Amino acid sequence: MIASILLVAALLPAIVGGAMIALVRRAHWTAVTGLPMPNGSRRTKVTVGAGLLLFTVVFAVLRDGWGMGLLLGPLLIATGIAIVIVTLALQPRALLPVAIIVDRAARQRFLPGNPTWHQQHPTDDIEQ
Amino acid sequence: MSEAFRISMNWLHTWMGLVVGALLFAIFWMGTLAVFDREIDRWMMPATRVAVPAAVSVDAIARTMHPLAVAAKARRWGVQMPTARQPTARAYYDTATERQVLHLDPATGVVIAPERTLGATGFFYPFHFSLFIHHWKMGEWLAGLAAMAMMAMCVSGVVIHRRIFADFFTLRIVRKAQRTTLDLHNLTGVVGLPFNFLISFTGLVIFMGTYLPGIQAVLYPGEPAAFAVEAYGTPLASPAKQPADLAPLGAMVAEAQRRWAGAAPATVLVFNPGDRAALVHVHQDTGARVTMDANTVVFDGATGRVVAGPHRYSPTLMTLSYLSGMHYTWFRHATLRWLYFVSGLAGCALIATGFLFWIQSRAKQHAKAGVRGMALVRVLSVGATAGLVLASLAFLVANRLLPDLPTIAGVPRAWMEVRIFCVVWLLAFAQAWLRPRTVWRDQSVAIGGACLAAVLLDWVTTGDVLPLGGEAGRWSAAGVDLVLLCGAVLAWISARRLHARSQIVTRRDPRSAGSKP
Repeated sequence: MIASILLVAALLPAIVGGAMIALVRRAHWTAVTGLPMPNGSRRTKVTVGAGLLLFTVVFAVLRDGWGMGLLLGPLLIATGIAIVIVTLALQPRALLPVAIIVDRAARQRFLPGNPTWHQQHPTDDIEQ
Repeated sequence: MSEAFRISMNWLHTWMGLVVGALLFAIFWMGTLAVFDREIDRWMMPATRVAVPAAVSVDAIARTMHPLAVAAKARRWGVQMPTARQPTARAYYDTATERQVLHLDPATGVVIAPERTLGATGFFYPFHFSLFIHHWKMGEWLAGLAAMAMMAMCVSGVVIHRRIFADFFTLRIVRKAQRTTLDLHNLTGVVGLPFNFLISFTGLVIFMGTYLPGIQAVLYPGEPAAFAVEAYGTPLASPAKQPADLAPLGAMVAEAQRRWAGAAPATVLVFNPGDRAALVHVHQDTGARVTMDANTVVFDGATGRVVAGPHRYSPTLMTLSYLSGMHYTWFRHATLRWLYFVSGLAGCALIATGFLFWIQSRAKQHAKAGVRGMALVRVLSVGATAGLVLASLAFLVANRLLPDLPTIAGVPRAWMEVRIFCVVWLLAFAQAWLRPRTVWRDQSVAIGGACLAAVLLDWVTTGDVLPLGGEAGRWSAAGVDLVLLCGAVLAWISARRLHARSQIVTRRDPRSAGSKP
């Protein structure tokens, strides 16, 4: 049971991290939210996304030890990224929750470096 | 990066892909199937779909196997201990010319069934690295060449992909097939890059002794066996030509387990059976780790005395063993196994889309210029990709259709299956040559049909219908059936789309219909 929970815990950051990095691209952001991309620090979002990908490896090593964790982690990252790419191609709106999290985190300054953020951000109108 | 360098890498990527693409696809496809070789074996050998045994008696197995090996004057016999993936004791003996394989009840040593198919472990797996070309180890050399080419193409692919970061998450499923094909090629190439590179590299590492024979020859001049002793702790001895009984194997395995602090054995090998110089090697089960350090304990077969072991690998060999373990995937880890399988399929898609893009981007240009090679490339691409998939499915279907006899029309049953595989593969090439307009659609339909036929035949011949096979604990065979059903659905969708597209092309330009893949 714990092994299964850790597996899901390892895959989730790979998907969310991959989605965060993907949503830095204007075309993907627009495809997901239907709105123009707000100003903001791309580098920070990419860094946080990459950090989440690193979490995948950490969870994989915690679950299976160094030997198998170092194999499992990168493969889960590749799987997470592949899931994001296929979702962006077929059902981009499915990534809306991630876009909203990124958006809110940025406005709450969980993700720093965004002095030009709007008071009323366009994604406030998006139904969750 | 200079433009000239990028152009040269583009040339390398394009032409190397074209030249070794077919070989690479065969190696990747067979390797992907080999990830689940034991499961496919259970599917192909219904008699071995038994529950995992509660108890194992090595002595009972020896009581069956040892007399058989001695009577056949075998140079060795061995047994693979039962696991969840292979619940029988798979025992074999090697004579000077052949190997006889039997599946035994691990508790009683009673023969469950002789192995009358090569199965995945005997066909898909060796095909993956040897291509069944054994002269001068030519198959291994070709596989090594393909692995080197794959690594070179991984690097050159990154160099020539101008918008690698900008297009990283881009997959455009659009009407223009060329765009979608290139995006799929880039996606599977970039996302699968670490896997493809590492799997190629570790493949080369495994056959280091073949590709760099000079090292061994220099370090162990005239004594090739000395390397095995020093590296793996597996000494061999010549027969003393004096008969002797085999000491109880169970006691030897128990002693090995005591020296391993309770770890389980994976295989037991008896060399020179029935001879006073008999040696017994007991290898540890390494399924719980990636590193394949077997910690071999060697016994004197006649007395049961420990000769050597457990043998500890040197740090260098441990590193080598970890790299080999990454490639072999003999560890017990279902998730990793599935991820390897999917990554392998993505590798196949990478190679196939590379072929397709080459054809799509040059078809019109070559037709205008009257270049003849296009038809050859098209036949090669279809036969090497869809044709091989179809032949593999024919191998499974033949396994269900052929009667369970030792020989059929004078040919051993196992090799009859291989002959059918070869014939279907050749027919796929022939069809690609004769019907270039509809070949992709036709072979997609054939693949879908073969997938369905295999599942239905499994149901008819064994009674294991989904999901009952799974409920009865026969997950290996049920899993193969499920993958086959998914394959049938995918092939059906592909065939429908190809048909729809050919209709559009026909309406636009009746002369060029089917000229595109």
